Amino acid sequence: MNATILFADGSALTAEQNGDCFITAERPEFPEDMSIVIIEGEDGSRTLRGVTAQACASVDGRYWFALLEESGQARALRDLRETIEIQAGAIEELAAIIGGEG
Amino acid sequence: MSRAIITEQHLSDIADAIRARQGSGSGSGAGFIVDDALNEQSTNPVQNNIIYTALLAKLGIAGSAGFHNSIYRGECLGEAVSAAQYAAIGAGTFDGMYVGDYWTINSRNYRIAAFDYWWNIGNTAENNCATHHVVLVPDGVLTTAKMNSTKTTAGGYVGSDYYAATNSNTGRATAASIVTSAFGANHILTHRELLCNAVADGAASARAWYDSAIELMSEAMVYGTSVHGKAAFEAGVSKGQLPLFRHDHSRITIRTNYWLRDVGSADKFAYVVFAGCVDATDANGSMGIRPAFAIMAA
Repeated sequence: MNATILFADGSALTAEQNGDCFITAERPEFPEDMSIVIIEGEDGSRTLRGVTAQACASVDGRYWFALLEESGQARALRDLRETIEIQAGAIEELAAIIGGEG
Repeated sequence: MSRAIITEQHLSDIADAIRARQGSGSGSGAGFIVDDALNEQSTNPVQNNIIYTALLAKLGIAGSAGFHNSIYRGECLGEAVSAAQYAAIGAGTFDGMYVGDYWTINSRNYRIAAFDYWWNIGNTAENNCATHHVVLVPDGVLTTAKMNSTKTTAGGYVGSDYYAATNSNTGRATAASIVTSAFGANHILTHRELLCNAVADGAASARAWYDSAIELMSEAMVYGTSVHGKAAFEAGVSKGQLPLFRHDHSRITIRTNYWLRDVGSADKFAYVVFAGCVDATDANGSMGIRPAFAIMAA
């Protein structure tokens, strides 16, 4: 059965669906923005967030891939890291200001 | 409560009654009449097997996979699967076959691990398994092989050299050849199986449907649970412990290391350790091949 994969930039891709995998004749060009991907396939329509495309083992010479969604835990960890980086940057700037005044 | 003492006279009377009964038969060899069917009016005794079959029918379990999956016996069934045995498999009655029973073919024991384990499984109506079958597992390993030529699990089980026969890996073909020569290609069931074909962060990350006949077992099939493997992608359709291993845990450990198909990490596949414990080891290690497969009526 075929599935239609819709990307955030409006582009779409049609691929054969088998389990968690999608199959195309060749490796497709995936858009840079994979923040939201909608799959309309054998399981109905589902929306994935923070997606990465992963190559799967091929048994027939075609390109097999899976779309992996970032887990809630991974998303929370990424958000936390970004927050820490912002705070660290702010502290550095504050330290520079304080140091400059001294 | 009343008590009666059996005297010698009583025994003599009983013997007379039996002689009289025997004398009432007709033709040569006259004696007791033993019915071969249950009958509401008859006062004759009935053959043992007729009563047995009738009782099973009353329970509603005669000839069911569930019934045969529930009894461990462990008897030798011969040196080949007989025509009658194949007929019973084809009919789904599995007469005379129970978990743990085995055939000894070419000096190898092939032991019954389950009945109709993959029944009603398939990703489409067309490939749904509607063929009665008996799952067998050899008592020992059929050969030895590496999963991959290097320490990696990239591509999961489907991406392995063992599965794809790449990098001169002949393990899967050798196992298939041994099994096919023992039972005949036309008696080996092909069914649909969900197998892992991608790995991310050291764990299975995707799976797809494949035709499957003679495969390495999963942790779920052997242990009844995923230990190293990520169950969501590894258990697939073979998600329950085979009754052989459920009834008799000693059948899991064969004093030889053998591969399972679950991904243990980025460079390790799961295996059953000769000593009886679970573990995962480097994919380029050489381990025993002890696959599961099913036989069916041709």
